[in-house]
Amino acid sequence: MLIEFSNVSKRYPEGHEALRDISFVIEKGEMVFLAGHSGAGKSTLLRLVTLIEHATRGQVIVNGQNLGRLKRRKIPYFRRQVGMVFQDHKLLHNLSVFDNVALPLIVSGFHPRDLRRRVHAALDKVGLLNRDRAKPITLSGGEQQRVGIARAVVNRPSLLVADEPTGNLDAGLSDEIFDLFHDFNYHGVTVLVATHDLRHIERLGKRSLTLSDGRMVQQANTAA
Amino acid sequence: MLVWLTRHLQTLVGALGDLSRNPFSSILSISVIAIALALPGGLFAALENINKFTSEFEHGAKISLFLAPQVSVKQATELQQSIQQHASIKLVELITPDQAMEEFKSRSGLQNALNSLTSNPLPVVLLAYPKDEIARSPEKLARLIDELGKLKQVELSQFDIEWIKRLTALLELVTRAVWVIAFILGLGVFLVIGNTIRLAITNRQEEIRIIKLIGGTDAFVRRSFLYSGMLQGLLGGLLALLIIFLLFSFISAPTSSLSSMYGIAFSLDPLHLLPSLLLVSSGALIGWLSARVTVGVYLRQFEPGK
Repeated sequence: MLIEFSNVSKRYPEGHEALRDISFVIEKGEMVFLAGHSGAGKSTLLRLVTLIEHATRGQVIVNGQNLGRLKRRKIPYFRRQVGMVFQDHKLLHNLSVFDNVALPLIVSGFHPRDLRRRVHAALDKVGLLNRDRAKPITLSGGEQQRVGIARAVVNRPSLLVADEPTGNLDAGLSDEIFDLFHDFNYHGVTVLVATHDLRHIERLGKRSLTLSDGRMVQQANTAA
Repeated sequence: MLVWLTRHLQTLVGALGDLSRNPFSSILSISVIAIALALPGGLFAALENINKFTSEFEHGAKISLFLAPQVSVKQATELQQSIQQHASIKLVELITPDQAMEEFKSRSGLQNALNSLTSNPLPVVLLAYPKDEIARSPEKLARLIDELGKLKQVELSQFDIEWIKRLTALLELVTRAVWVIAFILGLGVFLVIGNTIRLAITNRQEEIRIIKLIGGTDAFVRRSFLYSGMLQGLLGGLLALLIIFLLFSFISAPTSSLSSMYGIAFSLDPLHLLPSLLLVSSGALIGWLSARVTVGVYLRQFEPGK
């Protein structure tokens, strides 16, 4: 298993209880949707998986590591095993598309000789190989998100986590993005995607976890 | 090793790029650093020159013996030879009234007034150079001056040792003052660089958060700021050297003409190689330290979750 939550709660310092007693397991190679209304706790759950936040109670294990026991200086090395995709892309606008995608390799001290090949492979995968010299600002929203996805997978992580990756995109572009995730999953990457758009969950027929007001209300398998 | 090297080179080039992206503010802060470094650097160079000047004086320590007016040049020459035999004396020079008048005319600029004199009022002067071991000891020197002054042909014996002693003491005081100034301005440079680094961190907080999100270590984030601080200090130090050099070449000509009026061959030296290197490297070191401290204080504020 790749992700295991055991009786996890998260209370923010200002008192808001974002997650209450959450337990679930995601197996290696699975693709799982995280559903629920906005404010239900989807983002908080993903922030616990990527160690942007720490759980207040309970235990989170990702890739065999107990995140509560991970030392601060080990966090960067943990994050290199997890590809992250954000609703607002979080691209660096003063860098080219190529440099944005290369960034995870650069920060992890990747050998410069193989860097170009790896970045081009990732860009090719999302269909943006011909735009590698462009600045992100000149790309459409869907293209920017695909750059974000290329950056998330360039390190070949075992886990891909996406928070509302199609929140700002129309239906056609959303389908393309989710098909990309589906394809990565097909090639063995474990994928956890938060979305409020139930259409994709039905279309791809994957397991979904539904949150409501910080509680897990449903663990459904629509694949059957 | 290659990976390590390319990574550092990339960061260095990146830091240069950051500086060139905001040319105005970079030039401004580097200029402030340069001025702050040029002031103590220039003062040290000036002190070096004054030390060189006074040591030339001490080296040429001489006792001027103004002979009585009735003593003729012939009598003076005999006296010169007898003093020459003295155990404490290295050399005695004789200046005739005519020579003294010529020198006086050429240097004082009072040529016309002096030409109108009917007779030469100047006495014969003997310049007695004591041996080095005597010149170095104020007591022995005082005894020698006293002894020569008592000779009946000598009207006045003069040796300006007091002002050199006072000047040396004053220089000691000024040197300490310059150290204090250097320390305060060094602190100023530290704060200026710290402030530009703080601004750079604030401007790049989104970038810092993203780099941390994709697995960048604190050391990785820190590195570009350290290079940036070091580079600012380095460029500031180089500019300070340039300022000192220009300043010295600006006042060098009047200084040598002034000193030649006093009959001293003195040329102004700008900072030598070693102090120059010291100035530039201390600029770079202050920059690095300042960036290190600033980044240490501010970086933790920009965790991805905050």
